[in-house]
Amino acid sequence: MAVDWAELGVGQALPALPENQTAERFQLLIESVKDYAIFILNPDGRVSTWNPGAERIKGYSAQEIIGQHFSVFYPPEVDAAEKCRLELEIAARDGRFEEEGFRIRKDGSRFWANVTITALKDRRGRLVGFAKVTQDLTARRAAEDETRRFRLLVESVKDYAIFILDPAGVVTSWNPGAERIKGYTSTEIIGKHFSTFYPAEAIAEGKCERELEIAIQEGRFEEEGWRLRKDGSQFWANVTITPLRDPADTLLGFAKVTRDLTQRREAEASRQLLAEQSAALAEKARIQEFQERFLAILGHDLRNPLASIDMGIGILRQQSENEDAARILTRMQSSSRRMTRMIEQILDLTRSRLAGGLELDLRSLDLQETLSRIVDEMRSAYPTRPINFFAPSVRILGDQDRLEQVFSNLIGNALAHGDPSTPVTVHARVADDVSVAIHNRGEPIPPDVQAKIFDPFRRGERESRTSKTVGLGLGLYISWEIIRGHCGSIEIDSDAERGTTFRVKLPLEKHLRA
Amino acid sequence: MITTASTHTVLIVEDEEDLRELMRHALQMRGYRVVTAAEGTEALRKIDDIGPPCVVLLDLLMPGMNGWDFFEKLRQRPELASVPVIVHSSAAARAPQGVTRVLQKPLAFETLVSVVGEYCSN
Repeated sequence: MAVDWAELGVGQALPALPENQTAERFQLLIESVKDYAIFILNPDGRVSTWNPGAERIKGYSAQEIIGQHFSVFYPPEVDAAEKCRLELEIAARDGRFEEEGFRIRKDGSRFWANVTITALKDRRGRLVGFAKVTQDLTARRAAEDETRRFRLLVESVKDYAIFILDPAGVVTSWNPGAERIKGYTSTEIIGKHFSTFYPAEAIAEGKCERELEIAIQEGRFEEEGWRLRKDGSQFWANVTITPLRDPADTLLGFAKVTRDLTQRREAEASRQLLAEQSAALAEKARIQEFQERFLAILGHDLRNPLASIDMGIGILRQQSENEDAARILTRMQSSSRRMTRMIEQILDLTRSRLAGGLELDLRSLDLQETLSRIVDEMRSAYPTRPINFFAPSVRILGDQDRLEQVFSNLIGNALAHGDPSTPVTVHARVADDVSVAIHNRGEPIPPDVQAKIFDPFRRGERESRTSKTVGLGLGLYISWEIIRGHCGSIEIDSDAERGTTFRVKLPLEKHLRA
Repeated sequence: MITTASTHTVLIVEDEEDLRELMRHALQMRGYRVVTAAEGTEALRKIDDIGPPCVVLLDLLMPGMNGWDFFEKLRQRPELASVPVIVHSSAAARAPQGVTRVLQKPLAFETLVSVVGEYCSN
């Protein structure tokens, strides 16, 4: 259908051409436009012209649509008849109506349209119809939506600092995550160079420039490292810098995403520490198990065959009347008992060194009774040797067997090493504590030996392997450990003039109980 | 089942065979009747066969029923509750409460004979 554009006044703006010619050209223009649907509605809203743009955007051919009411372009949720009436009313009244909204294509699909309806009046001002121009803005709207959603995303993210740098590295945008992580508000930081976030030594090394350089060359820069907050504190950051380019590949700036991994790093460190600690515990348990097994072997498995040997020797001695055999059996027996004592000493050493110390069964004891029992035993073991003994009756808190072991060791040593022509003295006295001095005359103990006399496996010159004493060099060490377990001490004093004195000091029971 | 106490039967409960046989030999030499067992279950069976002994010489660390469990079972039986039990062990310090006597291994022949002599007649 042809339109009388001249009748509508179109072309008045182009006075250089005769009116009919102008209208003709205008018709041509409309026919060639493909990006806009341009058509005319008659005053009651029926389509009366249709251009190729309209056909492309709405899908109808001219034949299909001319004569139909323009309400067919509206989606079903809209009261199309009422809306169309209103739009035309506004256009008629104000000369123009414009909106953006969804419209429907012939195939039922939706598109986002910019719609302009212009009232067409003749020279006398009578309404002759409406020009309707519709633009399909679906793609633009999608892009706008995308941008809006993206901005919303960036602005709602609190766990990541997301911001933009210009090509020189100056901050141009700032999100709440950046404010939370780095401590700056957007007004404080926008316009500042991003080196603000780096420790001084990193800036001096040219780290900032290098990072942007790498991002430009490789399309991306990523690292983990220390960064600074506004308050000067450091945090462990994961940083990504991505260059931003326009379609013509011009560098617009950089997107920088920073995560605070301090907590993760600390969690990793504590996890590692925990793993190390549990490995150490497992190792400790393994060592303890080994120690227990070792103690069981010493204490049980080695003693059983010795018990058999002892028993066998005892039986044979009963049966044998041959003197040579009896002498041999005596030597076998003394060796077997020596072996037994050495096992006891190794057990004590192991307990004191490895298994958490010697176990003591502390009870209230009378010192005099304990000492006199040992002195009596020593007197019968050394019948030719005088022992001068004096001890007051006083209560101490001690392990009977262990204290007997200590005094037996010290008095035995004095008898074994002292001058046989002089007596050994065992003299106890009570003051703030209990002190038991065991003294012998004879060759003194050299100072260098004295210094190490309580060390395990020490063997002074006086104690060679041929010595009468039991030969592991553990006796004094174990005695010292036992007395230490009683909160006491052992001191040594030895020179040629005064002889040798071992002095055992033990706390009084009343002091320990107080 | 014999329940009368024997005045000269000694029960040795000991897993170490050499020691067990030497102890048997030592006590038999002195005229005692000796019954042996390598662990607690066997010892309880022997008691069922022979009746209560005059004394039990008891090792503690044994495979099978150990000395602690054996002692508990023995004391639960009224007819055996008064049988003297002498612990003879390398773990003497851990002997159960209520045993008659505790002897640390190794034990000399003379000690064995004199201790048994206190409870039994040969």
